Amino acid sequence: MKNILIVYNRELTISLKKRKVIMLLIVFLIFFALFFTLLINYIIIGIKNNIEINYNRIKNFMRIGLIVSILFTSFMPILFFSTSINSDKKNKTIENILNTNITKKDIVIGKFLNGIISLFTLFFASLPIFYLTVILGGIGLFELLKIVLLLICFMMFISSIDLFISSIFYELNTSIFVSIFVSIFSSIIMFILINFLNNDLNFIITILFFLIFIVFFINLTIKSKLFKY
Amino acid sequence: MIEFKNVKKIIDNIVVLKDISFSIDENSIVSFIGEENSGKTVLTKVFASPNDIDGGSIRFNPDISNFKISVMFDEFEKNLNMTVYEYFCFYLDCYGIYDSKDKIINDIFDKYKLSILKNANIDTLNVSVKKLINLLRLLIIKPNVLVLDNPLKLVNNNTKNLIKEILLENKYNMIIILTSNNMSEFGEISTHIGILENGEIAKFGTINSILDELDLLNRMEMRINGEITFAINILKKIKKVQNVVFDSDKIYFSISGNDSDKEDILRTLIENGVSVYSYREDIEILGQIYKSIKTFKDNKIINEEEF
Repeated sequence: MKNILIVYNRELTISLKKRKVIMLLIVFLIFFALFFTLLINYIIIGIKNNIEINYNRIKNFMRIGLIVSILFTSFMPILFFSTSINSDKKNKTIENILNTNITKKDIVIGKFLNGIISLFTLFFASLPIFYLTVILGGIGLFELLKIVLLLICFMMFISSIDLFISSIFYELNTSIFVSIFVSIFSSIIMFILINFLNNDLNFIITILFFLIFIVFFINLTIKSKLFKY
Repeated sequence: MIEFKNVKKIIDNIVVLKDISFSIDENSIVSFIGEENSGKTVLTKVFASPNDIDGGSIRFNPDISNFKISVMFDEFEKNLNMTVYEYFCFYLDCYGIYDSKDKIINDIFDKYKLSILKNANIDTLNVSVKKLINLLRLLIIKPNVLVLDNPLKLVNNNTKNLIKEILLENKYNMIIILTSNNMSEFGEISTHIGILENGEIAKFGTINSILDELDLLNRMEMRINGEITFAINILKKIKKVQNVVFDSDKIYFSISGNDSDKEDILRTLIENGVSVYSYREDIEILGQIYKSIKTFKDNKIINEEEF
């Protein structure tokens, strides 16, 4: 566990120095600030003009928020994982780290942990939208929690695939291109899938599917050829 | 002791190391010398991961668990985004040294007068300093086996001397394995030499045993003013002189005898009117070893083709 934290710490220091997370967080917050402003304007204009607020239209407005969240959870991991392993191989860091007490497993889990925690920071910044959905009567609290859980698992699933991709392609451009392709494909599947998740059984099966494949892809990454000297 | 027995390594379906066999005792400095693509770097990688071989065996005595093997690879890490101090702290953590990190780092920096570099960004340093820092980083954990791949490549003279000094300082605490494509770089500090040629060990042994075998002991280098063939003819008449060859203005020859014989030969040359302005032992002796092996092998190939 200590070794995983050492790798995590290193990754975090590097990403903070590159200001990757901070920049993304700022972009994210600006995006949501704009979204809220538009929504509040819509409501205030409605009240000022004594027009009855059409909650169905607000619900449609919120649906855009959900679509954007799915796209974010599927594309954001590219920034953190698509060149995670092969860039270290190119920079000759992996060989030196493996020559210490750190194992391949520590490196993979440490990197995964750092990316996921950074993504969570961004993801939680989007939660006020869902909260607004609840208070405006869009969806219930239980549905909201289900969607949050689903999006978290989906994000971790995409992250594990991107991490795996970064461990099979040596060239950074190739791994980025393949990751983008995977994200597009996964987003489409997710849009289709979300319509069938009203059923609790379907929901549990989907969550289990994601969790099993997260473990599967992390294990495949550990066995990567790029970890050989 | 480390013993390699018929070790074979395959990378991307190409046999990079073939039947590598040698043994290294405690407190040895072993230099593996060879041209580009002769297998030096792969050999260092085998030390880094001894279980990952495709044939033969590597035996550690006592058991491998008692060996701490530190490897310095040819290329230094890039895009680290760290200061030198952070770099040392990170690797101390990686080695499981969590206590008194400050003291360990300060001691090593003070010893080699490198304190000024502590807060420098490691990416901005030149190759010489990077290699020195890498070496010090490996020595911090006091390994039993220190493997350095091309440690003096692209390094300036001052740092080269410092690296050699550091290696000599540590020679009694560990086995040191070096690789180089510059023949004379480690001649003076090595106890054993291995010549690598196309993934095979062409020669392995102490410097003297190899020199003896190749008749290169007491090899002299001489420079003269005037007719070179005249001097060669005189040398060929002297009984104790063998293997006379020349390369532009230099004459090389072996002497079977001691230091007084060397003086006698010089006296004979001067008495016969040869204007000698440089007469010394051949310092490029490792280069000569390599040339001899290569010439021997090339001749063998030509003879086989003729046959």
